[in-house]
Amino acid sequence: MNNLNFIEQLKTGDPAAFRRLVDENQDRIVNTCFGFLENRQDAEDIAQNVFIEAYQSINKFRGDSNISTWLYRIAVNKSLNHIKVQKRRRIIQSLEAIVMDHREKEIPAVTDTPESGLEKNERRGVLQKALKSLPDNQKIAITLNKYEDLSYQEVANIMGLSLSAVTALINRGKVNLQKKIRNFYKKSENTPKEN
Amino acid sequence: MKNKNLNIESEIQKTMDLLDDFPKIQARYGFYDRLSYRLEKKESEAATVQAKPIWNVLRHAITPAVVSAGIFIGVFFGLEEQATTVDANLETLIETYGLSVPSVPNYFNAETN
Repeated sequence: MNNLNFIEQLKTGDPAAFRRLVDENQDRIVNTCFGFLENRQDAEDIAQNVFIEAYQSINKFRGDSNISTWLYRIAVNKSLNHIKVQKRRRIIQSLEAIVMDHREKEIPAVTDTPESGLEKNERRGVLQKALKSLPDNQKIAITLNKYEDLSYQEVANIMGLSLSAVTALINRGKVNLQKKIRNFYKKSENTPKEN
Repeated sequence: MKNKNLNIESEIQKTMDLLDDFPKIQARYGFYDRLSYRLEKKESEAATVQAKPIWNVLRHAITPAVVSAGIFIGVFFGLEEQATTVDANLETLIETYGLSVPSVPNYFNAETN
């Protein structure tokens, strides 16, 4: 896929080559964005932005790495930027809510999920929260490795780090995840349950 | 106490195991079509933005020229028209009321004589 001819076709703006680039990478880019954003619609929107940027700046691609590595890099940057913007927006919204004194009570979602599925969803929620609170580089490394099943070497290529650095990042990330999850369960054990 | 710790540890383990069980999603049908529509839109927007700088430069030159030409034309034709209107009104008044201007004696000459 990364042959010079294909890159040249992309650089000349060949629509067939661009279509091929999208077809071959759309699922993994959407999935990577989903790993960071946890929202399907946002993930698709950001994935589209990734391809738009790739189309517009293909001439900047030097070809010294795989094109999918380049796409992953754009996807990670765009996803993290999106999270930052969302955080800012949420802060503004919460401030507005305080000013307006207009708070709606959260209605708990009613689900017919069986107990085991519910437990799994809860655990997944805890894991997502813990993952979200990790430092960016640990979060990126774990998400790419676990969501996208990329090897440590591939993660290293995307992040522009050495293999040993990525290995250390992922190990540290897992230890931090465990700590955060432990804290969460300890806290929820000490919190008296309502009803 | 030991049981409580065991429970927490097993919960942590179960939660950590989910790292290898992330739900995978795929791009929805029509991903490329939506993408190409957005790209076309972006390109047309970019074309409009590219055309704008020329207009922005010209606008600064054209606007004062048009305004000053407007003022000049307004003043020039407006004054001329006003003068002809006053003359025409005077003549109409003279004709309507049969007014005649009395002859003015040449006092200057009389005094000198």
